[in-house]
Amino acid sequence: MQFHSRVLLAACALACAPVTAAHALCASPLSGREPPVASDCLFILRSAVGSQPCDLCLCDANSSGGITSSDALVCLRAAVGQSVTLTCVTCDGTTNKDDLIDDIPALSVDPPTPVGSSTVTVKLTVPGANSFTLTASGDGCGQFDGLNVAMAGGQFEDTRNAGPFGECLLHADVDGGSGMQELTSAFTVAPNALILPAVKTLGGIFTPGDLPSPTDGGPQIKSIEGPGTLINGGAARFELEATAITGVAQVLVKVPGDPDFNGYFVVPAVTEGDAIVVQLQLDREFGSPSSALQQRRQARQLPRGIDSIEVEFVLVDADGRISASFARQLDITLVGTSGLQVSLSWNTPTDVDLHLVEPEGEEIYYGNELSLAGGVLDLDSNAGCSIDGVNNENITYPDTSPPSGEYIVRVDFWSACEDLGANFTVTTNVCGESTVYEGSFAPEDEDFGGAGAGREIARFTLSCEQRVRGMATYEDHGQTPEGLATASSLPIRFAQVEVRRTEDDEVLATGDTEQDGTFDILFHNDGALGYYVLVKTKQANAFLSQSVVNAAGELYSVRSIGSIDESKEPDKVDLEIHAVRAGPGPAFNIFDVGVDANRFLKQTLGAVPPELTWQWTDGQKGFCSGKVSCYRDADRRISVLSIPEDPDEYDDLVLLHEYGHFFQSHYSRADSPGGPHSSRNRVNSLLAWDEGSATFFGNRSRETSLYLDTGPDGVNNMVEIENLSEHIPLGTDFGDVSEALVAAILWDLADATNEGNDTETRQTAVFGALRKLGDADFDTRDAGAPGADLVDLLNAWFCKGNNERGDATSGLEGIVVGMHQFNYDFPDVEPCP
Amino acid sequence: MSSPVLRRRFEGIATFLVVAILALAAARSVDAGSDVPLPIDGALAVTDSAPAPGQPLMVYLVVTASADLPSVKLELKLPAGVVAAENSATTASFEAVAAGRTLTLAVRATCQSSEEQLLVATATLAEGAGLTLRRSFATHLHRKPSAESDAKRLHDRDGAPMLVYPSGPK
Repeated sequence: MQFHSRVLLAACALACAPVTAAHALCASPLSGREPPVASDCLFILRSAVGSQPCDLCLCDANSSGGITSSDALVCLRAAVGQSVTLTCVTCDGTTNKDDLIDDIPALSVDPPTPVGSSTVTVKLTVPGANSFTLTASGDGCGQFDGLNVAMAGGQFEDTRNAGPFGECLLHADVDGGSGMQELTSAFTVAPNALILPAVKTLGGIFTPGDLPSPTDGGPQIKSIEGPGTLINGGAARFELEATAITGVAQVLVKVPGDPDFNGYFVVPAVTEGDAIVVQLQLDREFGSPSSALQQRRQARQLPRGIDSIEVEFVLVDADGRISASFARQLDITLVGTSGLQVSLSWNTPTDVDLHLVEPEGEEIYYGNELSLAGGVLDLDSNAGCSIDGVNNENITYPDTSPPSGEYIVRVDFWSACEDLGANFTVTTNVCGESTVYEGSFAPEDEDFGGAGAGREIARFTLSCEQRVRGMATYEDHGQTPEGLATASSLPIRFAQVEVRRTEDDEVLATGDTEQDGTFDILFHNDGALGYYVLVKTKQANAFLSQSVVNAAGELYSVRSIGSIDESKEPDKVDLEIHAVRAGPGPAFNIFDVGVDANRFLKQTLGAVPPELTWQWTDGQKGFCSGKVSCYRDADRRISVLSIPEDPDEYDDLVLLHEYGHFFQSHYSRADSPGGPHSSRNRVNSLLAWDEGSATFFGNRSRETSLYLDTGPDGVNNMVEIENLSEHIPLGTDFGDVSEALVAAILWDLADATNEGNDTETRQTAVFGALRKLGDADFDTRDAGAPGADLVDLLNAWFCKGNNERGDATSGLEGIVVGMHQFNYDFPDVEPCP
Repeated sequence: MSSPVLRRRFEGIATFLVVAILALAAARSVDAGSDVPLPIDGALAVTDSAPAPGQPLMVYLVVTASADLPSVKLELKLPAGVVAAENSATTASFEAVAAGRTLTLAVRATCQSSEEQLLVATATLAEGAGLTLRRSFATHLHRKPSAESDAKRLHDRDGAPMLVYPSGPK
C-alpha cells in the first residue's frame, strides 16, 4: 500500500507543530480513532526518526519510554486489525478523546488507497464554533465528485463509493476565527477491474508480469516485416523471421498499457511459409471515447497525444527456451470509425489501394476519396510509390450513418514500386463485428488500376444504426483453506454475446466479451422497439472452444434487466450484466476456469485444445459413477458434482484437476483402472499416475501447491504438494505409490520455489516429457506396470534429452529419490527420435 | 404396533438398517473404472425428515471403509435449530479400520424449528498441517421444494437450447 503524498502534506499541515494534546487515544496522534489508521502509524514513524515531535502519551505505543519504529509497528498491527495492546503512558490533563477532535482541525480519508468503487469515509472535524467549506474533485471521487459542503461548525463525516479508478482531491477552508486554515487530502483509487492495453493481439491472452528473461539456445528473431503504422480499428499483420521457426510455440508481445496492469500478450505461434505471423489491432474506439469513463480508461491505456509506441516481440519454443526481445517502433494514426470501417494494411514499400463500392454503386478509392453518402478514404499511403511507410488505408463514414445495403471491398495492387510483392490484411468493422481477411500480391500483379480495378476481398450487407456497450461479470467465491471466500465479482471472459429484440427474442446481432468482460456491439432493429443483451456459457472460435450446459444440454446465459429503448438511447454505454450464485453464476465460474486452463495449455504447449463441454446442474450429481466430478473422453465432457455434501462448481482446483484428465487424454497419457484413491494411501501405480498428474496440471496452471476441495462446512480435501504431510507415504510398496507423491515429484521438477534437495525449475521439460508420454512411438517403451505411470514419465524425461541426473541431494535424483524415496532405477534410456 | 414409542423405535431401527445397507452398497459399488475420491463411503439419514418442533429424532451416519485405514473420525455438525440430547456424543473415533468394516455414529437430537435445515456429517481420514482428507455427508430437514427457476428457455443463434437468467445485483 502506498501513501499518497498529499495525505502526508495534509498530515504535516495539521501536525508539523508538536502534537502535544492533553490527551488523545494511544497511537492515534492524527486521527484520534480507535483503532489507529495508517496515517497515525506513519506519523509515529516520522517521530521515531526525529522528523516530527510527538508526546509519549500519543506515540509511545509500547511504553518503552521513547518513540521508536517498534511503536509504529505496534500501531500498524492495531491498524490492520491484529490483536495488540496499546500501552502509552497517561497524558496529563483531560482524558477525553473528543478534546483532540475539538482542538485541532483534521481532514482524513479512510482508507487512503481504496480499490475501485469501494467505500471511502471522508471526515472533517473542526473546533466547534468554526465554519468550513469542503470540496472534492477528480476522477477517483465517484459519489464524492462535486461535493461542496459549507457548514457553520461541527463536523462532516460521510461514507460513499469511490470512482472506478483515479485520484480524488479534497480541499477544506476552515475559518478558525484568527484566520483561514487550508487543509488538503486525497485518495487514489486503484482499478478493481482489468484494463487491457489499447493495442491488442488477435488470439492472444493478456498475462500479468514482465516479459521473461531470454535463455540460451532458443530461436531468435532476425527481422519483423509489417506496416510502420497502426490505425484504430484496423488489424496489422507482422511477419517474424527467426533463426528457426520449427518448434516455436508462442510469441509474447508487449505493448504499452496501464501501469497498474503491467503485462504482455501470449499468442500461439502461427507459421505461414518461413514466417511466424502476429496480428495487432488498435481499439476501434481509441481516440474517440464515448463517455467520460472511457476517456479516463483510454488515458490510462496510452498517454494522450502519443503518436508512436514501441512493441516488443519474444519467441518461446516448445522446450521453453526464450529469445531476446525484438523491439519495433510503430506510429499511431487515428482514423475515423463509425458503423462501418474498412481498413487495409500491408507489409512492403509498395502501393496497394483500397476500394469500397457502396450499395448505390459509387466507388470510394484514391480517385474518388469522398462519396455522396459521406464515405471517405481518410488515409491513403504510398500513393504513386511515394513511400511514406504508413502502409495503411482506411475508409469510414465520419459524420453520417453509412447507407444500408450491400458493400463490396476490393484491393488493388497499383504498383510493385521496386519490384516487390505484398502480403495484405483487410479488416471490416461492420456493425461492431470485426472480420479480418488476408491475401498477397506478386510483383507481376501490379496493374496501376483505377475505378473498378482490384481483387474482390469481401462482400457484406450493412444494417445497423444502434449500438450497445457494457460489461459482463459473475459472482465468484475463491477457494481458501477455510472454505469458500465471500462473494467477489469477476469479468466473464471470451464468452459469446447476443443482442435480442425484447418482443420476440429475435437475435439482432452477436459479439464476444473481451478479456476484461466488456462488449461492444452495433445492431439494427427493424421490428418493435426494445432490446436486451445476453451473455452465454459458450465460445467456439479459433482459440477457445467450450461450453457449459446442464444435464438437459441447455447452455446457461444471463441477460440485461428489462428492455432498452434504442430510440431513447441509440448508443447505450456502461450496460452492466451480472450472473449471481443463485442463478448462472456457478456456470460462468466453470466457464472461466476453462478459459484459464485453455490459456495455460496454449502457453505451455503452444496448442489450441479441442472442443470441451462442461456439464453442471445445480444440486445434481452428474454422470460420474461415484459422487465426484469426472472427465469422460468419449464425448470430451467434464461432469461437475453439485450435491449438498460436496458442491464442486466453485472448487476451481477440482475443476482444473478434471481438465488435467482432458489434457492427459489429448496431449499425454493415462491408463487408470479406477477405484478408490487417497493421498494417504499407496495405490496402483497407474491410478496414482492418472490422479497425481491431473492434480499437478491443475495446480500448476494456478501456480499454487495447495490442492483444495471445499465442502459444505469448510474444506473436504486439502493436500499441500510442495511440502508433503508426514501422513503421506513416501516411496513405493510392491509398485503401489501415493498419488500425492506423483503430484509432488512433478511439482518439484517444475516449480521455481526450490527447497531441500529440490534444485530444479524445469516446467517446460516436464510438459515436454508429459507430451512424449502421449506419443504413439513411446508406447513401445512402456516400462514397469503395463500402462503409463511415473516410471514411464521419468523415462520420457531422459528420452527427451534431459540427461542431468544429479545425485541424492540435487537435480532429478534429488527430487525423485532424495526427497520422495521413489526407487527409480535410472536405466539407460535411448534418445527419442 | 399401536404404541407411539414403539413405533418410533421401530422406525428408528428400520432407518438405521436402511442406511447401513446403503453404506455397504456404496462402498462395494466401487468397480474398476469408477473414480472414488476417498476409500470410504456411506450415508447420513434421519428417522424423520420433517419433525415437529420439539420432537426427538435419531440421526445416523453409517460409513464403510473400502481400504485399510489408520484412523477414521466421524462427526455430526448440527445446525442451530437442532440440538443433540444431553448424553449423545456427536463425534466418534476409530483406529485401524479394516477394509469392509462399517462404522456408525448415532445421535439422538431434538429439532426445534420447522425451518429448512442442512445436517452435515464428516468422516475424517486425516487432518493436520498440509493434509485434510474428509468425506462429507448431508441431509435436509424440512426440505422445501426448490423454487421455480426464473430462467426462460430459448435457443441461441446456433439453435442450441439455452436457459436465460436475469442479471442480478453485484
